Amino acid sequence: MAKAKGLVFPLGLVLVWVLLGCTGTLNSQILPSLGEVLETFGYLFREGLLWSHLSSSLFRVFAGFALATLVGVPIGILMGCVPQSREWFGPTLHFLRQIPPTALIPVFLLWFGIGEAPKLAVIFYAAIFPIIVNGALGVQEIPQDYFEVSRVLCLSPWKTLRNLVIPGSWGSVFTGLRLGMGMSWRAIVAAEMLASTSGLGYLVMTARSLARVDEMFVGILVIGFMGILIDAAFITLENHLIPMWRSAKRVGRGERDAKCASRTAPSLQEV
Amino acid sequence: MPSALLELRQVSKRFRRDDEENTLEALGEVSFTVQKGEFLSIIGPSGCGKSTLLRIIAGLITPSTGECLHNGQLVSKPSLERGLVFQDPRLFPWLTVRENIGLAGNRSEELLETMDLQGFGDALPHDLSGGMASRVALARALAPRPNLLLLDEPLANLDQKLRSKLQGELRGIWKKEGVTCILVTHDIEEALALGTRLLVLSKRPGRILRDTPLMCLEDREALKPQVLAWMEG
Repeated sequence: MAKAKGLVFPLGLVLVWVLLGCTGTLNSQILPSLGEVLETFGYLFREGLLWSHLSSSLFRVFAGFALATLVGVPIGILMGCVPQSREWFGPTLHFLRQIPPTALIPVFLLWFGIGEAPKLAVIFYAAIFPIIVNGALGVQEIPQDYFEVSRVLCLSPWKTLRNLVIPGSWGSVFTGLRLGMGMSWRAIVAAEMLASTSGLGYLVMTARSLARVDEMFVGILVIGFMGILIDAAFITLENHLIPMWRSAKRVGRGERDAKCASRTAPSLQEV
Repeated sequence: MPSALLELRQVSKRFRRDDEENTLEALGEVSFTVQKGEFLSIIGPSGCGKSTLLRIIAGLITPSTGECLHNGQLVSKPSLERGLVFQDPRLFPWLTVRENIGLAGNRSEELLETMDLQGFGDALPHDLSGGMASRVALARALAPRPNLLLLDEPLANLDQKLRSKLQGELRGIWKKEGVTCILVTHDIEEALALGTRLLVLSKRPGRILRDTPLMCLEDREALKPQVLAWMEG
């Protein structure tokens, strides 16, 4: 029902768009009719142009995102585990994440030249901060009571990581990955608009230069739909990979336990 | 007299609030010994430092003064020789019952049987009832074969019927495993039913008011009003 409600507004917009197209009041140099956009979509699809641009964008996004995951998840977990690292590196991280990736495109072009490297750098930069921040938060959110259990059982750091830190923070890490992917997708389109000869961003910018407004709209709509599809894929993956975490969180003996405050009030310092 | 398994010498604990200079004395100077095979019940009013005392013995916190010796060794950090069962089971929700028990020992199957949890080895903690979760927590603490088992009101969250049942099981496990137990509780009946010796702590800062052996059932029953009077007095 909630999903159906969410479809009402976009379907209404499409309806208005169709109706305006039917009345012939639309200027195709400003807003082409839905029919024209669909026709262009079909043409680009049949000619293989759409897939060519889409696959370029997807390749860049997944490559940059994979790199950001490989680097960001361990850093996030480390920052969550070691409070001193948050004190040392937290402010720098906070500063860097305020800079939009698009602002760094000229810098990356200067450093890495033209080609794939600057685009991968943009994706990496866009994705890594939500991954780090959520990874650290995920570890911090693990109830201290569980770490106390780990201490009492004299678990080694590796065993604590494997049995407590990774599974305990996995839900938040996954949220970070999902956010990171969303940021990557937005960033790659911007990067391709400025410095590329392929990709969906390039398709939109070229269409604008050639006054192909219908192609522009095809590119914009494909970008939006792909973003939704990728996000949905992440949610599905999350639901399949961590069902027990979710149910444990929902039903929550673990959570209830976590709320049982440690018998020593946390605001008290040992003397 | 054989050397004690556990010895506390004038152990006290103070805490300081983050925003205050004043310190809070949670536990007064406490001295006692525990012999191998004993089941010591420690009882006292809420906030008297019972759990603090247990955490010091477990090695989770260090005393502000005095020292705690286990097997003649100074306790400064947790050890597998001391098992601790918390008030709440604190089972890792993402691990199965078998994995939770096997975190620090390899006798999951044996303990599943001892705790009457056969068939639940692959269950996740949120599938268990409160009593079962308590049993898993107990099994987890017993897995590394500790010679001293510390019980911090492990049955406090359970209803009376289940509590009585688990008290019986706990006593059975104490006998079967031959482990020395220290139980902290605010429930007089539980303390009297389980212990072979009773330690009564005063209001905060907790000090020992009485240290008395618990003999036959009649003695235990007769002690009830007296213990109440000690605690209130």
